[in-house]
Amino acid sequence: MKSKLWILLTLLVAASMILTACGGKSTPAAPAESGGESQESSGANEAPAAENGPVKITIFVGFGTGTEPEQIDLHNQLAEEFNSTHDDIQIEFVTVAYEDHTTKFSTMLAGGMSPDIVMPIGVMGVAEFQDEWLDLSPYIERDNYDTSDFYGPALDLQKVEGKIVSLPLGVYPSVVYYNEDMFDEAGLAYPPHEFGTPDWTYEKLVEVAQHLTFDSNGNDATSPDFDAEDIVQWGWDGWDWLPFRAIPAKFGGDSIGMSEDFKTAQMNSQPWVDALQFISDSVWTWHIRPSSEEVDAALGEMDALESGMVAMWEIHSWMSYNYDTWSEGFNWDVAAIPAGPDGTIVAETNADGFVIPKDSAHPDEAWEVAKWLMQPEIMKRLTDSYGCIPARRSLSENWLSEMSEAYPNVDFQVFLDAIDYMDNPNYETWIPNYGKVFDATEMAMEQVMTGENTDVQAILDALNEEVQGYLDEYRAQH
Amino acid sequence: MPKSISLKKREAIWAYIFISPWIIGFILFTAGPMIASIVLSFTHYNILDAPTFIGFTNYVKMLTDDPKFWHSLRVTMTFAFIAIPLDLIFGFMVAYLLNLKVPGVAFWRTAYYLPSVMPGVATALLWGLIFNPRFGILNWFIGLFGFKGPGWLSSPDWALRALILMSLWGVGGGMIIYLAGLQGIPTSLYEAAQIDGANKWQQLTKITLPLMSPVIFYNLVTGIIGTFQYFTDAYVLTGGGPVDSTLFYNLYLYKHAFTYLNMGYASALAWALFVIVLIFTLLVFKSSEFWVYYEGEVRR
Repeated sequence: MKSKLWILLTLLVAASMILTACGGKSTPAAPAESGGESQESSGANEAPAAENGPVKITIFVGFGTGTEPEQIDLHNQLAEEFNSTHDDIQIEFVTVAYEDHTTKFSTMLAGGMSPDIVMPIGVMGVAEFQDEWLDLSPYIERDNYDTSDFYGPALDLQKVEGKIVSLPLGVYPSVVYYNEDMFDEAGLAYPPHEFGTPDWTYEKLVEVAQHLTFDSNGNDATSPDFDAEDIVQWGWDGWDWLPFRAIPAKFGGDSIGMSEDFKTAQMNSQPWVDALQFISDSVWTWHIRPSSEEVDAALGEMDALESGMVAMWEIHSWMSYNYDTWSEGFNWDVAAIPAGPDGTIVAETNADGFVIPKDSAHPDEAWEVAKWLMQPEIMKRLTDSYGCIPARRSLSENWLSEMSEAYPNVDFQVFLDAIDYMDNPNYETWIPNYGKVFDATEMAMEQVMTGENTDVQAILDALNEEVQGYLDEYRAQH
Repeated sequence: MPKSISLKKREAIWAYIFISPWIIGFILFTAGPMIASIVLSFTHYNILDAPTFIGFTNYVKMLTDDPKFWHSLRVTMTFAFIAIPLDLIFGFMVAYLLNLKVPGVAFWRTAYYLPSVMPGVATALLWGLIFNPRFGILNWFIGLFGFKGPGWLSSPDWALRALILMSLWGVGGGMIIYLAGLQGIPTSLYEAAQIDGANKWQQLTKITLPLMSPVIFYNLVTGIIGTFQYFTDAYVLTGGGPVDSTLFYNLYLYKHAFTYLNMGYASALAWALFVIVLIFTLLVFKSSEFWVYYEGEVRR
């Protein structure tokens, strides 16, 4: 009796181990018939479309925007429209919370239940699962798919090792939003809207911002009586939603911070030092920007401009969701990004697009669905909902006129101009050991922003050493 | 069932059948994953590719080449050494007060216990509002006395202290156990002590505390286990920051598992935590010989 029980228990343990430990990777699915060298051969996942009824294409949403109730409604509406006009393919959107996307998506891949399309997905999302996406180039070539309508730089954003893994739906360039009323009160001229305006540099921005920074006694930051402990208005805030690695590009470096072969960390190079020094000085020397503690204390749950305590805010166009609130409270407009010390202008930009996982059982059908979604009229509905600028040039005029009609006092041409100054390589682009390096670089900036440590060179020397360790670790594992 | 099976055996079979849902559940969802995680802790495993065996590399790296492992352990230990005694003392004090015959005692007991049954995430969000340096009620209250409140969760110096303060919110859980213990102390002991001339303090230290020591011991052990697994509040409120000042061990483990997709290393971290908690629990068990008294126990 006892021995039989033990046999039963052992079998159960073995079964549970198999269930929990062996959720291995499924066989990758086949790409288009033209195929590419890097694409793997057809696997068991592949199922013929016609024989077993319509093919179901699952679209995974959760790598960024797209999870708000009204966005889910739009997705469902699009699914209905698609499904009612297609017999051979049916689509379904699966939405997960942003916080859960990594675990849910990787579990789906590990469990052999890969979705067929992921959208909207930004550069970071693509980088997180760098090797998991299908190269779309063979499909683009096979169908002579016209990509000339897309903003050139936006298309480049999602190129991985020369392959196009994603087509862009919309872009989010960064600009300098400013509160006109604060400029009027200080008697200052508005910042220029034209990119490349002579003298519109970060040095000039600091000078203007100091005249827009006030303590509670009304002294500006240039006054000898200015009390830095009691600031009620800051002249500038910016980059606060950008990772630190985005900033060195403005100072003559790039967002990679390592050698081309990714073997040697270079995060204590001069552009990185200059970038972190600027961040430090903007908070602790010039006092034009709130520290991270002051952001929480003064701004609370509101965004910088909405708080009424910041005159200029340098950030991506994704603030569009709050334009109405701003317009109720004050007059605002947008200015060009200033030039860095060497004259380079970098407007950090992000793009949302779609990708097809390599493990999709139906990549051909997924490509057909993606093409349907990328049609100008559908793209417009999606980008309107996501709050981004459509990635098709043919839609930009329409976007410009609609936005200008809604907010007549705002110069929306600045956004379209900014696209030409996007960073390349993008600040979210893939680097080895992505998550660990990301956290390490953020820690460097956080030390400065909290005032915990402002010895920029020491911080970056330590960062460089830490990142070198991550690069070595990555090489040892790959 | 054949008649040849004895009654005893038949009962045993039925017993196993009745508890089988629990056994199967335990094996599938607890024991199985535990065994799997031991195996995975000796591998490099990123979920997407098959695990590769790397021997003790994860454990060696953890101990010799991972400053964040030690840092997160230090944060967790600091929290534990302050929060556990505070929770024990406050829980006991509240239970002691709520054991007095005061008007509306049922209401107070409910009120103090209620926070313990609130969902962790909701509680954390609520405390996020309380700690807000500008709009939060805490700094408003401090301001009434003419002081400027600290940055709380946004300050590297204050974030951990804020979370320790917040942990007192949950004293109701321990309190309810203390209360049950207090009510189990025979009143005859106090009456006898009063006749012998013992004052309230002597009654507390000579009767209440010794007789409550098994309950304190229980709360201490569960407190240690719970505190080393501390996660939700820090995850929701600080994400480990600012400047890693609240990077608790479990948060670091979670990052490896679900941000870096480094399941092998995360499994090793989990087993290291298991050993650490086991050591502390065994130490407390060992020490209990000197300070825990059981009614009716005869000591040599």
